[in-house]
Amino acid sequence: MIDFNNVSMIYKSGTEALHGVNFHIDPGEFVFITGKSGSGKSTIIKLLMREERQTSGDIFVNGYDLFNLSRYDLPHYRRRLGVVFQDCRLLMNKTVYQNIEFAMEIIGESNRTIKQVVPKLLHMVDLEGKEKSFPDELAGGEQARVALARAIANAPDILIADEPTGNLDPKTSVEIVDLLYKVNQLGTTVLVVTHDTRIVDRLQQRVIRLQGGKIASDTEGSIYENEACEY
Amino acid sequence: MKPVSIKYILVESFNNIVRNKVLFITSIFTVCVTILLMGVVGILLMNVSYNSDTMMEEMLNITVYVIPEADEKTLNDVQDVLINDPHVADIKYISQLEAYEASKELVGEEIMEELGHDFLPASFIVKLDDVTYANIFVRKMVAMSNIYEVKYSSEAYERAGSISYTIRYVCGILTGLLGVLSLFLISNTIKITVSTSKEEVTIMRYIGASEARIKAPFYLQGGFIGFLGAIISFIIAGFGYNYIYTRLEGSLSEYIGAMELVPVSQMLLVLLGVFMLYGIVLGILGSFFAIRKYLKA
Repeated sequence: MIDFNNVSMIYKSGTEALHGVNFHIDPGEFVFITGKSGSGKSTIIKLLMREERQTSGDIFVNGYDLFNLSRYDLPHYRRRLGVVFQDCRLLMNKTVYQNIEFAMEIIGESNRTIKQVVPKLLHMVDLEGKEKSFPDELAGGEQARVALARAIANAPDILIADEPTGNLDPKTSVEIVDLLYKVNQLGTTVLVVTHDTRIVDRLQQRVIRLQGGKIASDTEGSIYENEACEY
Repeated sequence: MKPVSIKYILVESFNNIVRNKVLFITSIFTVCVTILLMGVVGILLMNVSYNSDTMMEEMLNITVYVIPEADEKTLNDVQDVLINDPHVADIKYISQLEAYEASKELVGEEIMEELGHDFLPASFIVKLDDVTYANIFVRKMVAMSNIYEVKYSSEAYERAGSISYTIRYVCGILTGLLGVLSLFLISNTIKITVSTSKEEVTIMRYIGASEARIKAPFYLQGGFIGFLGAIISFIIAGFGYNYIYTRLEGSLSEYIGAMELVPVSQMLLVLLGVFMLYGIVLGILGSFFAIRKYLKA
């Protein structure tokens, strides 16, 4: 599903963000990518979103060769990804319902499908009754839930969450990570970029740890029991 | 990929307009002023052109004199050549007798009787449909053996050609300048709309919206600004022209000779077509420039 083969990334400024990174993620896996600031986590997301192109190596996702992805194929590729951003990036002038509806509308889903799917998503993320609220009327955790509902609205194959609990209290973080796990259990491959040790420990899933642009470890279960202070 | 939903594009365009309504109204106003300015220039030029056409029609007569000893066959040959020329719009034959009678009134009966009725040559008065063809036509006629003389006012032809050229030249430059101004204004409006929708566009791209779906509402908005600007300009220009026409028609000839205004219905039809085309094309083109610069993929 996701293949990074000897991927290196050097930005125009000369900063080497990744150096010879190799990993493979199977369909349906739940993977944490962790590491300190500047370790290359964000670069991996940028490469996966095809915001940037690697300097060398190959990246294959869902059968797409990301380096050679044409401008025409880019939207097709991105439709198979769902992304939850740390700052949620909700549209403030749209209600909760409209934010989710928007994601489906812009890829051409019919009104009928939208009316069927959005209430189910709101139920899943426990936001029933908040349909008509605007994002700035919601708490941080609720905003994160809307962002998650929007990310999975088009039933993506891969869900990428970039620091999804970054601005949340411990209790809300647990709720969000449980929701991510729920999505994974429904068959979606989930990739969570985080430095939040609590959520990594809670789920005991595969963890790819980056250090200085290289993979320091790729293990199952928590890696923090002995090195939590590092983060 | 699923087709672009018309409903989505319309709703998004409408939302963009509502979100930036002050800017939208300002743009329509500026486009309207620009089109109106162009319209005023156009109305003036159309009327000048209309009257210069009338004047040219009067001036552009070429008289082809056939040799005095020409028989009926020779006259028929010349007539055939004229009829078969594709640029000859009208021919009027003046026989030797008609020329004689006309000259009698001018120079006196006694003198003309001395000269005899076959002294003056028969002639054809020819009207061309194209000013620029005049010189070629004259050369062609002079080259014929049975043509005695060809008379025409080369100065009138040149003047007519020069008027026509000046009108087109001035019209072209003014329309071009005003067009650039309109393009700039529309492009600026769309640029501001794009910048206020930047976050939305980023999210759309992440979700996988096609470029056509992202850009279509902005194109529609530009086209709509042009369309509304054109409609308002047309209404103002139409009423204005009708008012001027009603006030001046009839009294105008008292001041400026044979000058007459282009009929209202004819003018309105031209204005509607030109304004609409100009407005919509400008709107879409303005959007294109803004999108190309500020909405790069």
